[in-house]
Amino acid sequence: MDQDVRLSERGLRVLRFMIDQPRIARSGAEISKATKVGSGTLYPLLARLEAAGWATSRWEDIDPHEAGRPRRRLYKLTGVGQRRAREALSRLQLGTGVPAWAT
Amino acid sequence: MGYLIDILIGAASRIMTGELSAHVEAVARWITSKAADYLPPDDRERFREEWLAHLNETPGTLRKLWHALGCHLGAGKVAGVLAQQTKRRHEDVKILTVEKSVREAKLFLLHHHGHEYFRKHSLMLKVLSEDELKAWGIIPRWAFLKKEGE
Repeated sequence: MDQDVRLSERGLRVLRFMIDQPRIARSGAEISKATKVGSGTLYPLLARLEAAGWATSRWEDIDPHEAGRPRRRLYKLTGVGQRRAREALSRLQLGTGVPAWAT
Repeated sequence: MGYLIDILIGAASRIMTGELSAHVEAVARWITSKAADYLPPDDRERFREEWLAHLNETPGTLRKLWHALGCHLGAGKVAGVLAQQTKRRHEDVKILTVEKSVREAKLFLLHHHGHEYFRKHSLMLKVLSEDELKAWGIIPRWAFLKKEGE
């Protein structure tokens, strides 16, 4: 199930955001807002991450009729995804620690 | 008099801006909803709901429109990923021949096990052979589509 994912700079930005607090599942809107990656790039990327086994998603636990709004789909990285994301980020020196331009 | 005209122009422009904004939001909702139609039928509702939830959280009329156009442009790519995934699943299926005489075979829906996508697209097959050998396996639902259509 674990496959390679082709990552652009925006893809790495998304991974860096998701790996920051890997236990917290985030909606597409949250990820988009935090990373400034638009929907046209974000959703194909999330689909690729999910297909490759790097990320998993689930519905927000609400009743849309009671809440009066559609449910959010929440994403988080799997164990494999976290490992592969760290590798990808460290390869490009964009790790979760000190930014590349500050070293 | 001039003061009154200013007030009237101000009120009219506010009404027009408000109405335009409401129309653009409706258009954004429509584009977002339509974008899901590019996806395989089984996945449309999931992405439609997800993208509309995102639209709901997006502030500002223009940003909503931008999100809708993004979904429209990205839908083709998402469809490509989903198609690749389905193709890979089909390739993963191996047909084995078991030389046992089967006493009983049952198909079960997977209500509580595994990922939602997995539950939606798979069935569990339990087999009991004449010599009491039990076996079970997960079968993709598409494997039964031809039979159902016949």
